[in-house]
Amino acid sequence: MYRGMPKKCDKLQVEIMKKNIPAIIIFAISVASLSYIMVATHVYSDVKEKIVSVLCLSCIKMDPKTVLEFRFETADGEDFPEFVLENLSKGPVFLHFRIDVCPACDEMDPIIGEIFDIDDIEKTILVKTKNFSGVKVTLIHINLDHAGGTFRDAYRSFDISKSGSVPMYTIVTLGYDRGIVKPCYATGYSFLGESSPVKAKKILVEMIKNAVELYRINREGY
Amino acid sequence: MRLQVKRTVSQLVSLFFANLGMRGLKTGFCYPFLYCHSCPYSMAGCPIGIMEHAVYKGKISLPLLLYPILLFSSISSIFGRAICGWICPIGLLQRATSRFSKNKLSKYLSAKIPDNIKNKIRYAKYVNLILLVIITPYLIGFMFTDVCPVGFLVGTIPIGLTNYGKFVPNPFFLPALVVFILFVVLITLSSRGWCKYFCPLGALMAPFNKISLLHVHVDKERCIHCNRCVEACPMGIDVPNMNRSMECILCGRCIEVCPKSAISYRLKL
Repeated sequence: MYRGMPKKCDKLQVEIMKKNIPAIIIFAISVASLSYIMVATHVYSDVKEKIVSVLCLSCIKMDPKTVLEFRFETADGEDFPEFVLENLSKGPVFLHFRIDVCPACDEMDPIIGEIFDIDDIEKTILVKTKNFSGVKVTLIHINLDHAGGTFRDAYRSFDISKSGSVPMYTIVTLGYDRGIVKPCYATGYSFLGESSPVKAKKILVEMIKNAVELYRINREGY
Repeated sequence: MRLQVKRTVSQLVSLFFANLGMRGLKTGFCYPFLYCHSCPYSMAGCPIGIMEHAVYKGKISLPLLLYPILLFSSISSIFGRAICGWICPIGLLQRATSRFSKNKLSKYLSAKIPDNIKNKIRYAKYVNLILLVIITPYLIGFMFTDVCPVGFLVGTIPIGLTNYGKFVPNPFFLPALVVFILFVVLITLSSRGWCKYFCPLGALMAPFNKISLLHVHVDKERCIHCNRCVEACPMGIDVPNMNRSMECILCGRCIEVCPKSAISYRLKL
């Protein structure tokens, strides 16, 4: 490799050149591998969609203040998602959104499991129906990191804080608005402003009870 | 233009680009420095956060893990730890707080703690990188970013201020606040305390100082041992004898203060 070098080049210079070789090799390998990863894998979109765009509330260390009021207009102004409306004919729909890496979601998953009698909630998409005071409530558990566009759109429709954060819970039920029975929803986040998952459970149960009551009152007109 | 002015400009420009998310730009790139993607204006992912995502609870994603590592190895094989000194916004913050680190209390504390202890504490950043960024997220799901003071500074605080009254602290807030207070105490008492002792990205880049093409060179024949470089060094390095120290952030303070111009940058190709 050094055959072509001038003879006057002394040992010290050779030594310095040798020392630069590892840097050049590492640089070349790193750039080549990085380019390959960017082009041949989904790493760019994974970082954009799963890390930068949707935030875990344990990362922010704060929760959007929860005011569990029922609204008729979606957060993005779009219609209610079709899969929600289909299930709404049977009863209120409880949507639970999470992502893969989210300690707050990990803490709240068992709570959702307890409410809906599910042992293992660690699935990408899970649908479960449970009877609350004679009204069927459908849980749709959605892991946004693995969910398709429909579910991501649904998430944006119900993200009232527009913070793009999880865990997020939305209950869709029926409400009465200026003479018409229409779908309405309430959204809460993370620990719902409480200091622990156990306390948050009480609020979630209350949220479901209110939705069931509204559904019972309004289902005749839907 | 003086070297330190160039540094300030470079750090401000990188801070501006880091916050392009305020223009709605959200990308899948990885920051080449410590900056949190929970910042409301962030435009890329935190390298530490990406590594943690890659190993979280045993679900390993190799491309995601290699993404920040390869990014840093490609930059640092050329520039060493220059990112810490020239680009990192937390470095800029520490430049601002370094003036407080010259007060009596920090001088007293610095004198009380023996150098060998201080040098041993420097290994904490390597422990942070391996333990809190890789091992605990992999095994139990506890991540460095759960308590990251930089995330608290550029994420939690701006979100709280820009959405005043709309957010409430959750159970993750208190431990992060405690770590953040310790971080503030550290960087006010010790010049570049975060870079020296705890930054996991500094640990990732440090070994590259040994082989990087760009480095700080000391001409020992010209050196008059005035020790001005040692006093000026924010990383507390014995500059004349540093021999491509892993701690050097290539800030150039030593180059500026050397009365004999014995210290210079060298880029050997």
